[in-house]
Order: sequence, then structure tokens, then C-alpha cells
Amino acid sequence: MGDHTLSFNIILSVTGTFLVRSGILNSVHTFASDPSRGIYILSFLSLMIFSALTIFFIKHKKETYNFNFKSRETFILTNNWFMIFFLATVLIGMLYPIFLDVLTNVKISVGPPFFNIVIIPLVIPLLFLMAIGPKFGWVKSQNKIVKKILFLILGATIINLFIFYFFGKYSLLSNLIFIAAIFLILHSILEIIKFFNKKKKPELPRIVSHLGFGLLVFFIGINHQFSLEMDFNLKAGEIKKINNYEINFEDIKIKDSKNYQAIIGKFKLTNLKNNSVEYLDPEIRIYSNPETLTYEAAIKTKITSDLYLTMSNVSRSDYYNIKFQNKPFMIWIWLSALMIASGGFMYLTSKK
Amino acid sequence: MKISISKIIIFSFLIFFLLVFWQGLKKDNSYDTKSLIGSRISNFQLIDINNNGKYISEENLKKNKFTIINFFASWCAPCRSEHKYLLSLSNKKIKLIGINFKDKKINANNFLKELGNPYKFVGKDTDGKISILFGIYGIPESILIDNNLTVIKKIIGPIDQIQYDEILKLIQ
Repeated sequence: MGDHTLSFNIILSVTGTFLVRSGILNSVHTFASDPSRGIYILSFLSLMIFSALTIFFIKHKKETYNFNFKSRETFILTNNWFMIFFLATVLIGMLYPIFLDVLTNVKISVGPPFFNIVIIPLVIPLLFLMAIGPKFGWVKSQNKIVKKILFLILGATIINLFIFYFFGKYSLLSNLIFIAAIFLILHSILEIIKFFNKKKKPELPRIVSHLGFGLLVFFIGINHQFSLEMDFNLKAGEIKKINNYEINFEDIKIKDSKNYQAIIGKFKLTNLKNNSVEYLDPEIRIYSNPETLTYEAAIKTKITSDLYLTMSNVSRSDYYNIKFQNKPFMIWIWLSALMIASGGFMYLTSKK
Repeated sequence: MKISISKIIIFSFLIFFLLVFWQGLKKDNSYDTKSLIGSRISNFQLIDINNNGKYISEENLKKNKFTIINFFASWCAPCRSEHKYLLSLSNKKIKLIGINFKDKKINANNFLKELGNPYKFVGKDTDGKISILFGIYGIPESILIDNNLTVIKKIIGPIDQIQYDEILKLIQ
């Protein structure tokens, strides 16, 4: 069964490569796309699908399982169903516009509103099940575990209220997401402490991955709620103040490269709270063959937030359209994903 | 391998998927406004900037012989330079619809109060999603359409004297 899942995963990965690299889909991830390359990827994908499916049908044997409802396996299976649901949602969201365009010539775009409505409400039970599931069937005292869960939910609610009160207001659904994510983080931290006190069976890989998942949802939530995004115009020599930032469009220069010409803006960003200064250099690249304009963002990654600046020209004007974004804890989202993956690697390399 | 109906269905389904992908490769999916000229505007509805329950859709635009849809914002400096041409156009045989792009209601209303309101209707596009339908890169941009909702001209950047004269020529 594992081999078939692996084939399925690789097929889906190649499908993703085909979608973003062939130009069939307009996505933020679509870069270096080329329809002629798409034909090769599609041929490779077809070959993979049909050979994998043929091998599956030849080798497949019926297996029977003894299914016990009140077991850890039930929770693992339930969480897998959640993951499959998320996968199906993303797949449908990606493929539906393509099918609609090809079959009916109607163009639609699917973006955050669809994914947020379908996925977010189900993340909440998933986070709770991730913490509770591994306990099931192992615990002698059900009362003790219920008390512990209630205590952790109370702790998570208090931390969420602290964030809500001091840093900004957000919706009821977002409150629930934060509580569920903090609950999983606290639960995982307690499990790590238990692991190091050797009071618990060694399950470090799972705990690390679950902690990573809790942190991932938490930081995505924080990032979503507290991101700052502003569009405005500036011409060289002008200054704009946004919240705690002063953006000084100091200069503009033109640089010739091998296959493009770049218009580079020099921006000085001053954080008025602590007077720290950052320099960002977004570019407009003009490629000649074929004639294409691309806008290269200038990104400054810091521990607490990432700063982004892009500029685009306004025809028949000295002004440039500027987009400034301050996205908190961006690096922590990547580190959380790395933590989830490292749990998997720890499991693969651990002695069973 | 034994051939069964279920296997035939699975294979047929996958062939259908791959054929759709293959057909999809032939479609032009680039976000390019050049192809907008000559195409028809469809599936859009604009809500009034002041949230007073008013809205405008394709049906309203069909009543005007010519309409200019102008994308503007109070923070957009070049929008100020084109405003006098918009005011002048509003006195001709043409209706103007304004789409307020990624702006605050109060700032947009102050902008129109200060410079004058050339628009028959001002709709809001707070997150910039409606503008994507019209292939907007950045503002200001304007689209001239006829009563069949066909795009006759697209002006990227502020309207100047040359663009103004061209619009007048087109609506004659």
C-alpha cells in the first residue's frame, strides 16, 4: 500500500510541476513557464500515470484489516482523511478553472476566499485531533487526560486573549484557529518535557512534527492577521510615511545585463520606532527576446518580519506604482515547515 | 492483468484529464491587456463606494452609447493630472464610471470633492480583485467601451491631451 501511495505522491508532484511550468495556469508560482516545455512534462506525466496504474492493477492484492474504532489507528486514519480533504480542495481549486476554460471557454480565478472558506474551519478539529489522537488506547486514566486537555485549552484561550487584546482584533474563526494551534503547541511542548524526563515512550519524531504543524498554523495566522500592505505612487526624490515606516525613494538607475535591461530603484526604509534603516532595491526588468517586463521584489528578511517592496512604471509619468508589505514572522513559517519535515527524517533514521 | 469495466472507466477518466491538459496548453493564459481590445466585458458587478445599496452591472452599461471605465485612487498622483480631462469628457456624449482601487472611502470622497466628480457612478474595488477582470496592471488606467460592451480602447497610465483627442475621435 505504501508503494502505491508513493507513486500517487510522485504523480501529483509532477502534475504540480506541469501546472506551474507549462503556463496552463496563471499562478503566483508560475515563473519560467513555457507551453512547449509543457508538452514534454505532459508526456512524462502520462507515461508515469499509465505505467504506475498498470503496475498497480497487476500487483494489487486485496488486503483485510481488523478495524477497531476505539484505537489510535482510528485517529491516525481520521487525520489522514482531513489531509486528503485538504489535498482534494487544493487540487480542485487548481484544476477547475482549467477544465472550465477548456470545456466552456469561461475564465475564472480561484484564490484565497475559496481556500479559506473550505479549508480553515476543518483545520480546527484537525489540530485538536493531532494532540488527542496519539493518547487514545494508551491512557489508563481517562479522567486525568480530560483534565489535562481542559487545562491546556484554558491556557491556549488565555494566550489567545492576550494576543487579541494587545495586538489587534480578529474574527471568531481566527480566535478558534489560534486557540487550536496554541493548544497543539502547548501539548507538544509538554510531551517533549515528558520525553526528556523519560516518563514517556520515545515518540520524539511525531512530537516534533506535531509541534511544527502547530507552529506553522500559528505563524500563518499571525502573518495573515497582522500583515501590512500598501499601494501608493512615488517618484524619485519623494518620501512617504506609512505607520511606523518612512519610505524614501532616493534614486533610480539603469543597469544593462546580458539579456535584459534593469531599472533599479534605491529605497531607504526607516523604522521610526527604533530608527533602524534598511535599503531595498526593487527592479523592473525589460527582456528583449521575447519583449517581456518582469517586476523583481526587493525582500529584507528579519527574525520578526519580512519587508517587501516592488515597483512598476506608470506610462507617460515620472511616478512609479509602489507596493510595500510588512509580513510578520515569515521566516518562522518556513522554520515550522522544516520542523515538520525533520520529524519525518528523524523517524526514517531512528532505530525501530 | 484482467480487463474489467472499473479499470476501463479509470483509464478513460485519466485519458480525459490528460486530453484537457493538452487542450489547455493551446489556450492563451498570459495576463496581457493587448488582447482586451475587441473583447467583450462580462460577469461584473460594481458596488457603490458609499455602501448605500446601489450597484451597477453590464445591463446598465448597455444603455450608454459609450462608457469610460476609469480606475483611480486618492493616493495615485498621476490620477490628479488626468482628472481635468475626465471632467471635460463627462460633458461630452460619454458616461464615466469610476472604480476606486485599493483606497479608503473617506480619502476617495475627499479626492472627488476637491477635484470634482466626473463619474456617473463610483464603485469600490477595495482589494483590487475587480480590476483583475479588466486586466489592470496599475493605476491610472481607463477602458473605453461601446453599448455592446466591446472594449474599443485601453489607456494605460494617465489620460493626456493626445489620449483625450483620440477618445473624442473614436466616439464621433
